[in-house]
Amino acid sequence: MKKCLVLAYGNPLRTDDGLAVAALERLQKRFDGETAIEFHSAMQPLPEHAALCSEQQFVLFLDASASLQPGNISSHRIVPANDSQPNQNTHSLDFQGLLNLTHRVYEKSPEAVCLAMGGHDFAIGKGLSPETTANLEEMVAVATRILNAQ
Amino acid sequence: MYQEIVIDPITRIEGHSKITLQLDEQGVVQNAMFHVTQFRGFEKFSEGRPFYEMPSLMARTCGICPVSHLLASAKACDKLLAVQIPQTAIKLRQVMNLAQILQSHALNFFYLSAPDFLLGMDSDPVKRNLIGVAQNDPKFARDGIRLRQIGQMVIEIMGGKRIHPTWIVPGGVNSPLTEEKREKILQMMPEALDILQRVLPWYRSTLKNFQRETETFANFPTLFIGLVDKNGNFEHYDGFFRVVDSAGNIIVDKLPSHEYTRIIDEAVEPWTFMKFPFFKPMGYPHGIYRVGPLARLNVIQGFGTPIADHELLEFRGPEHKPVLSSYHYHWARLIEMIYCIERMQQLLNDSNITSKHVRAFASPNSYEGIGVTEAPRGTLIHHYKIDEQGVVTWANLIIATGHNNLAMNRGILQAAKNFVDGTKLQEGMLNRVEAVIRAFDPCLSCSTHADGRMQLAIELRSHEGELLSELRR
Repeated sequence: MKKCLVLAYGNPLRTDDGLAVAALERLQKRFDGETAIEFHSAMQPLPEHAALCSEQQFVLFLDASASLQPGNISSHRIVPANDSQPNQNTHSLDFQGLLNLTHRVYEKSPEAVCLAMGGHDFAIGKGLSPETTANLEEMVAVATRILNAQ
Repeated sequence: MYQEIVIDPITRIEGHSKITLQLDEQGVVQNAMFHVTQFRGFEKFSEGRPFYEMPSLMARTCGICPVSHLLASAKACDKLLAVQIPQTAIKLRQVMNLAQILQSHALNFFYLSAPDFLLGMDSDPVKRNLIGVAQNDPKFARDGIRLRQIGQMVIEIMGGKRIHPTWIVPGGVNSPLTEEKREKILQMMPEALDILQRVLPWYRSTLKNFQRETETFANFPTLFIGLVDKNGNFEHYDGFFRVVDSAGNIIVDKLPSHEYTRIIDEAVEPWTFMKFPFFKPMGYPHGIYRVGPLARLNVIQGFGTPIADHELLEFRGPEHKPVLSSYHYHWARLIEMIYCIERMQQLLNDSNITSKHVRAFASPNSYEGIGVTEAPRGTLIHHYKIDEQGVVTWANLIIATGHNNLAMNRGILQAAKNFVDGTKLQEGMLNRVEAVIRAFDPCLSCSTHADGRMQLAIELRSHEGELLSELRR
């Protein structure tokens, strides 16, 4: 297996915004003992994550989506942004921007995929909505297939 | 008749705010105001909570400096319990606070302010960000990311999480430090020190390019306030209040931190949510003072660690007087980072640092508790009152950034008068006004998500509201 990084983003205190973190926790158990995979979570992409990305051959970003229909899963390849694209500052750094930073600072360009699931409820609250809880295992299954293919 | 320029939002700072500049008919700046446009309400919604929840609650005030609030709050709760904190717990709390200061200073210097140093105040705003820094000097960007990473890793190793760790609790800390963790932290220190010993001389060499900024960025007499130990040296965890004037005279010394109300009071203005602390004996607004890295280096005798002390001499210059220009907050920040590493090494090499006795337990024995520490941005005060059931009835927080509010407002006026020409508005002029705020490294809320709208609109309007000129990015 390639050296992989799973980076989950979201706020667990905003109900389904924390679904990626919940998925990551299940993946950690599923891949317990697998030394080729590192797992990290944060509320948002940060410049320090470029250092983490630079050490890997493959990065799987996990995220909640407010634009996807609740329960729908989307997976797509992420390519580094070019320097003039937006959302490449410390306040709002997206995945493309993070990969560009990884390339610029560390001269590394790992392959990357974003796996996102539509959330049902993003209000302030602890724990996932019942609907998202029911759908989470499907996201974990897709993530598992992606990682096993590396 | 006056014209008004509004800079909204201020970029590359923590939190949300705007600046209003008022110009006369000749386009000369007459007044400036720094508005903090967000309301948090922590003091109010704490009422009714059990006191032992306060450290975890208060840590949520900020995503950059949660440890500062966690620590000040825990210290206030220590006073409610009226317990003696085990010495090892004090040292462990100190290590975490130093790591906090290190990573927070690294954030401001490398991510938020370095685009100005490296690329210039008048550079293309589209590129004047971390990507621009990475393009211009990838090694510099790597150094900044690594320093921040080291500070955060220390916090994570000790507290289990990088942001909002819950390890510091009333009475001490939750668990002792293992030998393995101690070694892991110590191994990172030489690399961090090496980075700073390369960056600091480079930064000093850039100062000649920013002489006008140095002269005009909140460069005026104020008082300076900070904590010192019993010998007058740098103190971030306990200590006494010291107040120094701009000539270097000590006007208050050895004031126990819980007596802060003797020297600090707060005023409010209708145009901002941030309060205006002032030096009480001089009244408002004459009692203007500054806190944070520049102020701390002005009030202390020394650091007590060799490299930081050497740099302090260089900082003060041959006359050994307080440094007044707020541009030099950046320089002071670098020196403090060096101290943080040296001091962490000292503490972690203490023979008792892995002792298992790290917490004292009690029920409340006092109905009022005050916790004061030095946070990255300055002196931080948490003051609570509880009832007999241990429920919070009143809380007052005086945040580090708040202490600097008067100075920031006066500072942007000074910079605007020197750089802004209302008859021919240019983006670099306004970036300099923003950069004054950036030098103070304000923490205006807590840095969770911004919504990605980093575009900036600058409008020049007449008193009647007619749009006279406009800049957008």
